Amino acid sequence: MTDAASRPVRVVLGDDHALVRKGLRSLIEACGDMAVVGEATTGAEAVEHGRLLRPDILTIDIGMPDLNGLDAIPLIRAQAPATGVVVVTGHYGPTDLRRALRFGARGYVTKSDEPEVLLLALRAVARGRYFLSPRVAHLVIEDPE
Amino acid sequence: MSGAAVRVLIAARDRAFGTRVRDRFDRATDIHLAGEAGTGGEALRALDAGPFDVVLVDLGLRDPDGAVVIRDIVAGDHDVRAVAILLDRDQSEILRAFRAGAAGVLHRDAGSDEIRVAVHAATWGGVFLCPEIAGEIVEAYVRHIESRDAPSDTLTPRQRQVLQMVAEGLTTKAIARDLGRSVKTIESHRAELMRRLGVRQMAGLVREAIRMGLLAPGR
Repeated sequence: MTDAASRPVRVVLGDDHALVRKGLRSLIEACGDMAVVGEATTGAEAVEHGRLLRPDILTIDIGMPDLNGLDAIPLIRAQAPATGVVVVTGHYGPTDLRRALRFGARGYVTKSDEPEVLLLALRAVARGRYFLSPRVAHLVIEDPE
Repeated sequence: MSGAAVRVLIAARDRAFGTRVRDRFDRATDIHLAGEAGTGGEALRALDAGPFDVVLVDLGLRDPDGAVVIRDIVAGDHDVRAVAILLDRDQSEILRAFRAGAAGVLHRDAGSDEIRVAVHAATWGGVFLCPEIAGEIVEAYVRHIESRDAPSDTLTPRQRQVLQMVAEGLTTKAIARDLGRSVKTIESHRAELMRRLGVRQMAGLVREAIRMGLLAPGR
């Protein structure tokens, strides 16, 4: 990818709440280096968007109709292996984090985080890194003990 | 990010880190670089002269070394958090910093956005993992939980449910109807189950379901 530096990071948003999608979209589009290329309102739609659009990043909520976000992660990973899945959720529990990471999420951000935390996450995952919200990172440090 | 600026002390052997932070947060209203120290001893003395909210501690610090400084800061009387600054990606150093009580780790090349998020997170008890090292920590964590948990836990709840129904002899169409999902979604689950469990036929799925205790044999 010779134009990687100039090409915007392509993002698909998966959330059943319109206000959340709208908020995420304006935040992401204000950056200039990222573009929202699709929105999904169910887990199944997120899988379908992943397959058809092959975005760099797909953000996914956990509680969604049809197919929940956690169940959708392995399906997205199978359909679009190069897409980095970032969970954006109101859940901070150890079980959801554990499942999300095991099913292949590269990022985990909570809806209580500051906007700049989400942007750090999207940029890190677009670079092939992992990113965990400061609200959940203690769980991966403490759990193995 | 409202309220008074967070007062930061930088304790770094490498002065360049302090210089970079000073340049970046010079005009910031939310972070105030309130002091600098070049050795562990200087850092601990500076804390007594305080007050500070967050100390950025270079793990390469000497006399005493960075992790010891973090432990002393966290165990001390001052209400202050310590964030470790990493020189490299040495896992044992990172774990040592966390065991000492660090509220996060930042790579020394971290950008101002990362420094800002790490410092603010430390003030409310959050933990910052810089993306440069998060991958190794997350991968080690996933390996750990996979070796600890039961095999059926490696499936999502819906995958487990579909596996159980397949093993009970239900058709894809019947499963889709019972779960109120499209046939296509159930087909995706089945394909993913076969891929994940490394089986190619129905019989393999049934065998795995029995092995996981999802189906009593001979029922």
